[in-house]
Parts: sequence; structure tokens; C-alpha cells
Amino acid sequence: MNFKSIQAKVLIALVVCGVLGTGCVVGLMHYFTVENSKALATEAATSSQKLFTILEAREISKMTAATDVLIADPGIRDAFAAKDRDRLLALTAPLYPQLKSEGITNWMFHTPEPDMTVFVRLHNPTKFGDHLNRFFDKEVARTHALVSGNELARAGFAVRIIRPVYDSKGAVTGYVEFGEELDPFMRAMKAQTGNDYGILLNKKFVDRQFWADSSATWKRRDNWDDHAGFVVEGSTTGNEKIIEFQGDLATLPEHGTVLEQYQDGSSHFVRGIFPIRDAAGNTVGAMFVVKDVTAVYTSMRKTQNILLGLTFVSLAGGILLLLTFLNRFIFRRLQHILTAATRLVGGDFETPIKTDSDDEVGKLEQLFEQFRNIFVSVLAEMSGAQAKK
Amino acid sequence: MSQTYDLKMLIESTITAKGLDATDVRGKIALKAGRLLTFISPTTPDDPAGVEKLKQAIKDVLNISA
Repeated sequence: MNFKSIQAKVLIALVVCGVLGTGCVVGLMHYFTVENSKALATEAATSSQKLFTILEAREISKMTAATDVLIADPGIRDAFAAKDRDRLLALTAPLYPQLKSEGITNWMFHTPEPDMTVFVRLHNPTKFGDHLNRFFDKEVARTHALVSGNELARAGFAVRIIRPVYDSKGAVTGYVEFGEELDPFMRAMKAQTGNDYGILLNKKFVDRQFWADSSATWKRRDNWDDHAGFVVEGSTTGNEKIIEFQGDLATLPEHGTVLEQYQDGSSHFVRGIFPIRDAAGNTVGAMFVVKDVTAVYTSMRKTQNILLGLTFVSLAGGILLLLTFLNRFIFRRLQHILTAATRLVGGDFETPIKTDSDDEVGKLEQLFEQFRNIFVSVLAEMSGAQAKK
Repeated sequence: MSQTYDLKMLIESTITAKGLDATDVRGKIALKAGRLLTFISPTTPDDPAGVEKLKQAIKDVLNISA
């Protein structure tokens, strides 16, 4: 190939355009893939947070309704007002298994202030008389109204409600409290969304020794040292390696944040995290969301490959078509003029340049034909003059 | 006869021997040499520069040394 020719230069320019075009499409598709992954992660985090809020509200509502029924029972109310522990236990203990099966694992009666000790602990009847001194206790004592929300106890999260119990004269005789652990929340959320979840606890709010003791009691690996700022309370996956977060839970934005996409074998995942606040408003933990986007990713990759193939084919076809047109309308006709000029000089005075086009090259052909006629006339005159000599 | 005319004869004999397109070959050599071969006759005077250009044109087009 003659690289000095316009044809070669045009071809090179077209190939460069083709490569740039294909590169732009690849870049654009990569950008879309990344953006879609972020959107999926955002969607996973926000929808999980909404679902968590809904489940939390539903459980609070359920526990509130259960306490409504409970404190309306005159027998229970009177036994509590009389601080008759045995009678209260006799009346309430049969109800506990049913409530427990509904997820209410914590049930306590508290004496009124100023003592505010645990009077009966249905989930551990032998233990009572202790002061809990939590935000919940202070808040319900202050307001004498229902207090609800999350609470990070020494060993884990729970959603709780606590409300006052009144005697027949309207005086506060103490408080009743229900609580549910958050692990069932994760399982319910996984069942509904298919995502995996993990609950992270801010170490600042967890007692190290209690964590070690409870790990031993429940035959759970003590994972305290796995992460710097938090400990994984539980997850819906056995693979805790997928839970990776380097930041500070306390600084998580209200609506959560999207973490990086990652690949495990042939599977692709996106990760997000949103804060869990306790009833006092402290960010005491977070819920980690892992969404398997393999199907979407594969689909996006397939679309990317199809688009890339189509772009390549259309660009190659376009280049071929353009070159064919250029060759047909310009290069071949220019070559014809060159050949005609060469043959004219070589002695072919009879073959005219035929043109039936009025385009730019056609005008050049017409001009060359006029030049050829003049050249032939001059040559004839010169030959005649030479013959006369 | 002039050297210029000898070169013209060399061109014609080569064209015949190789069965080349005479008009095309003559045209290419004429364009490179800057003169019409039609006007070269036995009496055409030799011009050293013109002879050299013609020899170079023959070498470029026919790939033979004159």
C-alpha cells in the first residue's frame, strides 16, 4: 500500500475513527456497568433500610398490641400491683412460650421508680431484682408513656417496647417490657429480598468481656478481633468474609452508603450499609447488605458484548461502504485521468476522457479532456511543421 | 545516430521483447524524462542532461540499465 496516497490516509483516518468509536462504546458500557452496579447497591441498601423500618414498626405494633391485652387482664394487673411475684409468674408464664414463638424473646416487669428494678423476668425467672439503668427505663419513668426502639444491650441488638402499668386508681404500679432480637429480622429480610445481611455492632457500645463470655456460652467463635471498630453480631451467610467495612459506623449517613462491588469466583456482588440507631438516637450499629448481582451483571456484560459487536460490525461496514463510495466516485476516476495522461504522453492521442458527471472530479475530467484536445492539436501542428522542414 | 535515439530504440525493443503495453510504457518514461519519445529521431541532438534523465527513466520504468 502506498501510504502517501489519499486513499491510504483516508483508510488510516477511518480505522482510527473506528478504534476510537469502539473504545468510546467500551468505555461508555463500562461506565454504565459501574453506574448500574452503584444503582443496584443503592437500591439494595435503601430498600433494605425501608424493609427494616417496616419490620421494626410491625414488631413494635405487635408488641404494643400484646401489652394492651396483657395489662387489660385484671388478674395480671392486680398481681403486679400487689407485687405478688409468684402469682404474676403463675399467670404469665403459660403465655410466654406462645409469645416466644412469635419472636418476643424478652419479657420483663419492672418496679416503679425510684427503685425501678426487674421484678419478673419471664425469659429468666430466677433472675430478678437487678437495676438495668438504661435509656428505656429513664425515658419511660420520665414520660410515663410507651417508649420503643432499638437497644444495644451488652451482647446484642433488640427492638423493645416498655410502657407503664396502672392500677384501678390510675397510679403507676410499674412497667412491662417486651423485646425481640434482630436476628429474625435478618432472616425475614433475606427471605423477602434474597440479599444477605449482617448486623455490625459498634465496639464502643459492647462490653468486651461479656462478648467473650456469651460467645463461649453460645459456642460461637469469638470474632471480636476480626474488625477494628465493630463486631459482627450475626449474619445470614456463613461467609463473614463478604462483610468488609473500613469506615466508622458512627459517621454513616442517615440513609446508608454504597460500598464497592466485588467478585467471588464467577459471582458478582454489591455491598451497602445503613446505620441502626438506638432509641436514644445513637448510631450503635449498622446493617450490612450484600446483593448478588450476578444475573444482572451477566446480562449487562452480554448486552455490552452485543453492543460492542454491533458497533464493530457497523463501523467496519461504514468504513467499507465509505471506501467503496470514495473509490467509485473519486479514486478510480482520478486513477483513470492519470492513466489517460500517461497514455496520451505515450502516444495514445485517440482515446478521449469520458465524463458524464458534473461533480468536482467530473469538472477535472472535462478540463483534462479540453487539455488533451489542445495537446493533440499542438502536437499535430508541430509534426506538420517538422515534416515541412 | 544520436545516443538519445539509441535509447529510444532500446525502449522499443524492450517493449517488444517483454510484450509490454507500448503506449503506457512510453508515457511513463516520457513523463519521467520530461520529453516526448515521438519527437526523438536519428537526428535528434544529444543533450547530456536530457540523456541522463532518459536513462534514469528507463531504469525506473523498465528496470534495465542503459
